[in-house]
Amino acid sequence: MKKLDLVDLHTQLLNWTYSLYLNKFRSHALIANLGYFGSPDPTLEIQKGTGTKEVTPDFIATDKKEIVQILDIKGFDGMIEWSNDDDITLKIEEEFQKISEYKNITSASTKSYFSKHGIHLDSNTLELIVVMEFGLYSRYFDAINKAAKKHGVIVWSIDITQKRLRKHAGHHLDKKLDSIFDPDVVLSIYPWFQPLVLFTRQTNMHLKIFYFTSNLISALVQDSKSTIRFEEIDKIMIDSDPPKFAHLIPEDRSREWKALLYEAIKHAKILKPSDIGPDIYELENAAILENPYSQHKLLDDLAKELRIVK
Amino acid sequence: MLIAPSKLIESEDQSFKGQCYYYTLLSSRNLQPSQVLTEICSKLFQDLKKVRFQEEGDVSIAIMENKYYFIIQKIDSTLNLLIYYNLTSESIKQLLENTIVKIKWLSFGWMSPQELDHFEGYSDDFDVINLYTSFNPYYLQKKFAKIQPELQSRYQERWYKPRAIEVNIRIPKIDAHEFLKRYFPKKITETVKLKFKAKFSNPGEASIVVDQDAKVIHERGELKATDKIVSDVIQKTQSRISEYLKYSTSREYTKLDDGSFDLSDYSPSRPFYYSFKLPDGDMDEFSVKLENLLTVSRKNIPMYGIRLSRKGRDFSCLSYLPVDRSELQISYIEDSGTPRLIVDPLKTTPLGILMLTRTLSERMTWSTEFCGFYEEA
Repeated sequence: MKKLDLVDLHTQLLNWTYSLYLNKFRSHALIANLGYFGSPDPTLEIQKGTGTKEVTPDFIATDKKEIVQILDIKGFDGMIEWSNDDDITLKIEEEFQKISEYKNITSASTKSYFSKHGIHLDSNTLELIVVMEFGLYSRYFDAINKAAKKHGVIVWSIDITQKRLRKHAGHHLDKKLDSIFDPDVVLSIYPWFQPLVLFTRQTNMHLKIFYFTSNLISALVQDSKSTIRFEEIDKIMIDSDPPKFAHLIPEDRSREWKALLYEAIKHAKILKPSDIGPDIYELENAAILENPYSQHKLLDDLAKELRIVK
Repeated sequence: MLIAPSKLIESEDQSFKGQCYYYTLLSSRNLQPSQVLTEICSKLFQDLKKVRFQEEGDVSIAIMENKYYFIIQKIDSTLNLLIYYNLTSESIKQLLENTIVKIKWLSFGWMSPQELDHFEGYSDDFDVINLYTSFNPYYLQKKFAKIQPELQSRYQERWYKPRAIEVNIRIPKIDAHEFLKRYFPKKITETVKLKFKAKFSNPGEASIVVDQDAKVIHERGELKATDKIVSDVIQKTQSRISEYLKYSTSREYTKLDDGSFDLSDYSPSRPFYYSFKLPDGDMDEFSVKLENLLTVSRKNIPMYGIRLSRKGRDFSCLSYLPVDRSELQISYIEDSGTPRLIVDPLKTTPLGILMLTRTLSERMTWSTEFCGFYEEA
C-alpha cells in the first residue's frame, strides 16, 4: 500500500494521534472511550507580560472535566544531518523549551475553544505531550528523556511500521489513561491509510499546493468553467474529501486559501487574476477544459515542479 | 419510484405513435428534475422562451413548440430517467446526446455486455434480432498482423487509438450465436466484445433496442411493452450503484457556530481491486496501455491523472474523474501472474466507480472483473 506517499510525516503522525480521540465506542478509539475529545490545529492564547500572544499547537484534547492536553508533533527537521551530539542535545533542549511555553496557555482561551465544541470545563489543568516518530526517539532517547523530565513534558512515540503507540516519559494525570500504555497501544483506525485530515497548518507546503490546485482543476473541469471567484474556493475545498481545513474557522481558512492561491498564481502558473473584476481568477490556459490531454499535462508538470513525482 | 414511462407519454399525447428514447442519466449532484432539465435545455436551445416547462412532483416536462417532448423523472438521488420523443420527422436526438456528454457532472448509465445478454431473453428463439458487436483491433493487430520488428514502433501509437471492427447482422435469435461461432475465431468472440445491441419483438408487440449506454429506444409498437425493458434497465443500474455504495468514502461533519467543522463520524473507503484475464502473455504492453488509460487523458475517456512511480511493470498513479470529482490512487501489481489494479480512493462515489469500471471494461481489451475489497496481505 503506497497511499502515504502523498501524506507527509507530520500529517501522518497527527492522523494517528487524532484516530485515538475520534469515534467513541469504537474499539480502536482508546482515548475517546475514556471520555476524551480532541481536535487538531487549535488557536489559543498565552499570557505574555500584560498582553496575550496567539499560539497554534498541533492538537488539543480534554477529558471533558478538568484535564486539557496540548499535543505537539515534533519531527526535529534536519537532525539526521548533524553529527555533533552536543548540537543535538542543544536542539532537543531548545524544542522542549518552546513546548514548555504552552504551560502559559490561558484557561480563558481553552475554555472558550472547547465551549464552541459544546464542552464546558469547570477547571483547567494543562498536560503537555510531545508526539514523535519512534525511529527518531530511539535514536536520541537519552537527550529526549532528559529534556522531557526537565520541562515536565510527556513523550509519546508512534511506530509507523509496527503501528504501535508508546509512552516514554512522564505520567498522565489520568490514571486510566496511563494504564492503556501497558502494553503498547496498537493503532488501527487508519487501516486503509485514509487520512482523517489532509491539510494541517504544518503539512508540507508542496503537498498542499498540489492538492489545492488539483482540486480546483477538477472543480473547474466538472463545471466547464474557466473563471473562479475567490469565495467559491472555500466551498470547493470543503466539498472535497477529506474536507480541507474544515477544522479551522472561516477567517483562518480564507487566509490559507489566499496563501495557496498566491502559489497557484505565482509559482505553479495555473491561474491568473481576471480582467472581469476583483477577486475573480481565470485559468492561464483555458484549453484544459476543451483538450483533455492538457489536464494530464498540467498536473504532471505541477507534480514535477513540486517534486512530488520524479 | 418509477412511474410507468408509457403513462407519462400517454398523458401528454393520447395518439402517440413513433420513436421514443429513454436515457438513464446518472448525476453526481442531487438536483430536482426541473434543474437538470433546465441545464440541458439551456445548452440545447439558445432561446429558452420557446420552451414550455411543466412540473409535477418528481417529474418535469419540457415541451418545445409542441413538437419535442423531454420528460425527466427523478428515480433516486443519483438516477434520473430522461424520455425524449418528437412528433415531427425532424430529430434533435443527436444534438441532445452531444449536449448531455458536455455536462460533466451528468453521465449515461452503463449496461455491461453480460447485462445486455439478459435482454435477449425477451425475444423468442425465432424472432429476428439485430446483433451489433464490435471488436477492438488492438488485439487483432497484435495477434495477426505480421509487422516487422523495425516497424513496430511506428505502428505502436496507432494501436492505442480506440477503433473497432463492427459486425451488424439481422438474424433469427436461434442462429445468432451459431453464426458468430462459425465465422469468427473463438478467441475473438469470447474475449473482445465491446458493444452489443439487440432488437426485441417481445414483450407485447414492440420493437426495442437497448445499448451499452443504458439507452432504450422504443421503435414501434405498444409503449407498455417497453416499460418492462426500461424498468429492467433502471433496476440493473440501481443495483450496480448500491453495490458500489459500500466502497465510497463517508465522513460526517457537524458545523459549529463559528463556521468550523467537527469530524463526527468517519468510515474510510477501503481499497477495492480489479483483476484481468489475459489470453496471451504480453504483460509489458498491457501495463503500459493501462497506465496510459489511467493518466493521459484523451477525448471520450472520462478521466485524467499522473503517474507517481513505475518499477518494471508495477506502477502507481493518481487519477481524477471529473464526473464526481473522484480522486483515486491506483496501483498495478501482479499476483502470481494475474494483473491486478488496486484502487484506493481518497474521494469517490458509486458514480465514479461505475465510470472507472466501464472505462476499464470497454478500453482494456481483455476481460475485466470488479473484485471488491482488497485485503492487505
